[in-house]
Amino acid sequence: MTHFVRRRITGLTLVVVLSLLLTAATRLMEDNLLRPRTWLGWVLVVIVLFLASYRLRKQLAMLPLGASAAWLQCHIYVGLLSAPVFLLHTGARWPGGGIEVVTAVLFLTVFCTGILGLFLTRMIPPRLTDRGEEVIRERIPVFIRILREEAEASVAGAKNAAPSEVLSDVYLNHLHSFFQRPKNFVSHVFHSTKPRTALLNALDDTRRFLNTQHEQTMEQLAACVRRKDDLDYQYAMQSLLKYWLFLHVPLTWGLVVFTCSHVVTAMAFTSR
Amino acid sequence: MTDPLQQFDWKSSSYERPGDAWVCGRACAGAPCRLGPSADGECSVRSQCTPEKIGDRYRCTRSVLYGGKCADGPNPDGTCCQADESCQPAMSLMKRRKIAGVICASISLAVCLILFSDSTPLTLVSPGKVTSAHAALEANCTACHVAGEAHSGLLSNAFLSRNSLADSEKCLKCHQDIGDAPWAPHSVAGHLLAESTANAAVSSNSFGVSGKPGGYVHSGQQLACATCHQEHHGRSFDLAELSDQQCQTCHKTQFDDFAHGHPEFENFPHETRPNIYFDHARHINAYFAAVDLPSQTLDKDSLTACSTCHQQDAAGGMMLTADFQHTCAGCHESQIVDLPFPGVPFFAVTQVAEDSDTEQDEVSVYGQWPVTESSLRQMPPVMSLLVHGDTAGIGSLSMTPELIWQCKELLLRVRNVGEVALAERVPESHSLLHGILCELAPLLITVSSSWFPGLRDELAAHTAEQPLPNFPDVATPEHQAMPPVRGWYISDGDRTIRYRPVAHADPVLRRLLDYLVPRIGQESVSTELVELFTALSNPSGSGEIHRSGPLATGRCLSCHTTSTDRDGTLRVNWNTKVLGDYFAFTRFRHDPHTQIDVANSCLTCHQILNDQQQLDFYRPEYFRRDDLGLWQPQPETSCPLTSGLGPVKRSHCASCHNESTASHGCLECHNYHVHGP
Repeated sequence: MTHFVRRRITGLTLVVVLSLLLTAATRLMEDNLLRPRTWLGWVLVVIVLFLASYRLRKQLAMLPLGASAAWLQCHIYVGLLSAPVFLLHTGARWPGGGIEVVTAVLFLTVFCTGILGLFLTRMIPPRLTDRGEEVIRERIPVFIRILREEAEASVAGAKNAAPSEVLSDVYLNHLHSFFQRPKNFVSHVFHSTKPRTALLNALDDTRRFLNTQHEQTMEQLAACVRRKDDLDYQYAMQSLLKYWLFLHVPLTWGLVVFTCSHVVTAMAFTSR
Repeated sequence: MTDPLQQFDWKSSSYERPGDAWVCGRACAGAPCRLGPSADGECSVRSQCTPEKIGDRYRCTRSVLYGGKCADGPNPDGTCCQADESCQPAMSLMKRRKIAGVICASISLAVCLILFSDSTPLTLVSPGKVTSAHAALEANCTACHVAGEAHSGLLSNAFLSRNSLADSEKCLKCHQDIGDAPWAPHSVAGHLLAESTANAAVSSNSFGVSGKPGGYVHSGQQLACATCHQEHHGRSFDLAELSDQQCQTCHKTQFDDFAHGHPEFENFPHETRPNIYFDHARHINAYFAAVDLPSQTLDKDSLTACSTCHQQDAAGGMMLTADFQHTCAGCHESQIVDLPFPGVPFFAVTQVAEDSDTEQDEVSVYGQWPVTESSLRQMPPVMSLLVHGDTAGIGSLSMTPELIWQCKELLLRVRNVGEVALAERVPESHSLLHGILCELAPLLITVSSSWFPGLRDELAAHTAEQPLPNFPDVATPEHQAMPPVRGWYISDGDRTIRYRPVAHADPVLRRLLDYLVPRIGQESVSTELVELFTALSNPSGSGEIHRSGPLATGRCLSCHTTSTDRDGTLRVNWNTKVLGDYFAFTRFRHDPHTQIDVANSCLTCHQILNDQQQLDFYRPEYFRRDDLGLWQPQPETSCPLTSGLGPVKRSHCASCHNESTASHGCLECHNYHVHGP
């Protein structure tokens, strides 16, 4: 059993045990007329604030607040624990008030995006390793430019060879826009190789019009296409790793604001 | 094998900073400059310089950091010859995410501030719809919430003030029938609930109440309405929902359900103290079966039918008992009106005590005092009260010369001012007597003239300490017979003013008993009251104090039981059912249950006890003998009275109220708020 597997089993076991304990405590408090919903609400507030503070921890790297990896693990499992706490707090009933509905929607959205992010961060890295060269996302435009220049140079003709009109047409019709920027984002997200295959088939279709020398050039072009497609895959996958945070993080701040509003109204209007 | 695109040597691999707010504007084209933008988002490329004019020539001033002096030098007009190669830096993903976060938080904050502003109705922050019963109040938060009275007070209400019962007080504006202690457990004051618990604890199977500090009864903690009644969960939400486990917060004698572990109904209903002494078994088995049944209104068949005396009320929940005229009167009315009872004496010219110091001529000592041979030897208790003018009696009802003069002064004053003279002799607190005294006053005026014709002159001479005038003796009737009248009458034979009961529910006797019963048993009770109570409550029906007589069941306290109120006051139960304020911990509706077995619906649960050995009327749970050997009603309210019905069996109830019917919860039969019938 690897360290990661052991860590996951331990973390999930903790979440399940804590959830069961909270459920039992809630039942006990309900039976003793002790208002567990209020108590669970405060637990949920602490959880939300703790989860939101993970971003602050990353920004305050100069402070000795522990390893970021440890914070991430806590962030993940406390986030998982928040779901049963939320269900216990609401009594598994959909709220009826405006603030409560917005707060619940924000919570569930943030929770679901968190689960999505967890899934992506666990699923994508192995795939990045499996396909093409692992490159830093910010450098991908540079590498695309290098491949574009290499492809254009091939089409323009080698030192002792005249340029081919067929190759020029192929490049202009099929490859020019392909080499301009990252392409086929959605196809790469769903691991579809259809665009890549279609492009390589288009190159193959022109092979019979080329002489031997130009066929070698075509081979170089096809190689560039494959490498560019791998770069696009890297770009799409790495972008996914960043884009999910555009939902998770901003909505967290909205959730914090609405949570505070909910706390104020609930505490003000609750007969204690 | 192709060469890798990415190099990591120090020369060809720059340090990437994805956390920076800005990236080079040419990065997306794959040609970022190595300098990158500044932290403020400005391009750092300085391809152009500002040429310096030295004499009549311009010199290039470009720094070596940006390529050094250019070979062409400045243009003739003094401008730089280089093209502007600066770019427009773009925001990084990190920066865009931060802006998205700020926008999201700002929108949320703005929405919340709008919701909490003074101009926004508070209903917008309502956490949900209220139940249909409260729907009319939904638009008015202040109807139920103190916090709704001012927006500015939300924060202070949320975290500073802790007026826990303020909202609950608003509930009571509508729910006024919740009792005097609405926030105590069961809405019953702590000491009363503790008393009730102690009574229940007598039975070994009773529900125990927690003695730990958390027990609400013992801690005195008050329960806000919202502890159980949680609103804003929709129109059809059950506000009164309470689980069995929540009941067992205090009731620690835990059991699985009604069928398994619930205490048996050991005392109900056969040992529940009824308001009327009525033994079903004895009446059905002995009296109704008698051949010479004296009932004039009911035949034997109808007598044994439960519905002859008991009918459901209009709501169908309670089984009522028919009134006296339709039930008991058939046999017992004659025992009231035909009783050879001369009546309760209220005033009497009694014989003077033999041991009084009256060696002189009697008339010269106390004047005219027309006793007869049949005059009573002791004063009637009410007369003693009036003569002494205080409830604290003198311990003796014997007549003395001093008391005779006081009695005459009272009679003269009654003649002069009427019933006021009597009312001023009893305290204000004895208002129940005033009605009787008003009826007594005219009779006293009459006898003051007929029995004491020289009353005014006698008293004048006695006051002036002069010799008393002589008056002829008052004539005494030879034959003294039971007068045929009922109500108030003057008996010349024994010189008394008496009252004979008119019929059942006689108003004078009822007022007299209502006055007497609460005082019996108190330490300060006067001898007169004890004697009067003895006369009225003696079930022998002799009508005479300290005399036994023929058996009669028609006397008031022979049928009507006494009970103790919460404040410890003893009272007579005049009605068959208590309809006033009492603790209704249990509810039961007869109408749905009587549909199960129509033919034997009553006897299915209420079985007649046929095996009772003791058939005497004077059963110990009804009456007891006092020191003089007289029968007295049993005033001890904790003493159970047998109704002649067997206990309702829990197992019989559990045949329907069980897990399969899902109708075996605590609230199926028990009320939390126990006020009301």
